[in-house]
Amino acid sequence: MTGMDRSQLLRGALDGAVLAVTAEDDAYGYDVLRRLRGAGLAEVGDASVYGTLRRLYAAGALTSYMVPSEEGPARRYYGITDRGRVQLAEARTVWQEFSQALGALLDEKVEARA
Amino acid sequence: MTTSTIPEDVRAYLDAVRAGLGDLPSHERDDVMTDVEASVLESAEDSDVPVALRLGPPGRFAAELRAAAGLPPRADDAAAPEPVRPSLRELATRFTIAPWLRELAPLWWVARAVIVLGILAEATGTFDGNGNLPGEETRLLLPVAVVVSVALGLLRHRWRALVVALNVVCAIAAFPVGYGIAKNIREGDAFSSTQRGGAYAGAARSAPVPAAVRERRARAVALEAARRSRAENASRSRARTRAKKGRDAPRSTERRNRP
Repeated sequence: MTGMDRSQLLRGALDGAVLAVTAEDDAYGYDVLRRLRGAGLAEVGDASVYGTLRRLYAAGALTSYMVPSEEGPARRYYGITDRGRVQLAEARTVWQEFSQALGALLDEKVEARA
Repeated sequence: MTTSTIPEDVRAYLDAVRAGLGDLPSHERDDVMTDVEASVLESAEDSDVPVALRLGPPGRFAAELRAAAGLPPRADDAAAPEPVRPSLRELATRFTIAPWLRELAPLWWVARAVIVLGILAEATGTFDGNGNLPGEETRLLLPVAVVVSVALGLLRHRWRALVVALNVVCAIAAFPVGYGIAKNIREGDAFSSTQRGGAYAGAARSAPVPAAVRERRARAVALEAARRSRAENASRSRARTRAKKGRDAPRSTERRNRP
């Protein structure tokens, strides 16, 4: 995607994406990563996701709890809070406006106006 | 899970990441690594790709982790600056253009055609001695310029950078050209030919009122004065006639002369 850094675009949107995943269902780090990749965000980085989860937790948008696992170390699950839901709603609005405007600009059918 | 079941390369990788967080307080470091270790282990089980290849150098992984977590970068790590993370709102503001501005685009296409003609007239000065476009040429060139400008605006083309530059130039020239046009409209006919003394606006140079225009005005003033004095004389002579004839003047004339 020349001219538009996809990873930069993603970094700005990652908070919203992570909140959306946890809003669906509580998840631990790798779980969130899998679901994001499954949704089509192939270039999302592991470290970015884990770090974002921590930051959102520190900001009060997520809660966390430990779940012991028989296969390995205990996993930290994250769940969305009310504050997180508010943040998610805002991210949805901002994204809507942004993608509409940008979509109109990039739309092949609409002639470019110089 | 005991340490022996963790693959050697994953163990080494995780140790390196932990080292990358070495400047953090130990409880925070342990906290972060709890998440990371469990997730990295599981991801390693799902993939055949060696962990260092899949996740990148552990130093970079640690730096990305810190940045995403909102932690400050390592004080001694000048090679890995914190990546800029624009918020979604910042990105949205950067890319959104107010829709009503796009509605005004056609107005601008016409305006820039006029401005370009104004610039041309001023720059070439070959249309007539005063550097103004005579009326006939204007009538021909203006529609052509407008059509070209609208085409540039409407059609997709590869000269977008050029047109943007043109827009900037026209925006700057808009004020002198607009001033020149307004001046010429005030002083005379903006679009008539030079023979009749009018002039299409050139540019910032404030042209003296053309001699022909002054002549015409003087003539018009003189004509008006002559007409008025004739009318006065006529009414005065009628009044004298009435006085001479006294009350014998026909009533119909009187009625006609009354306001």
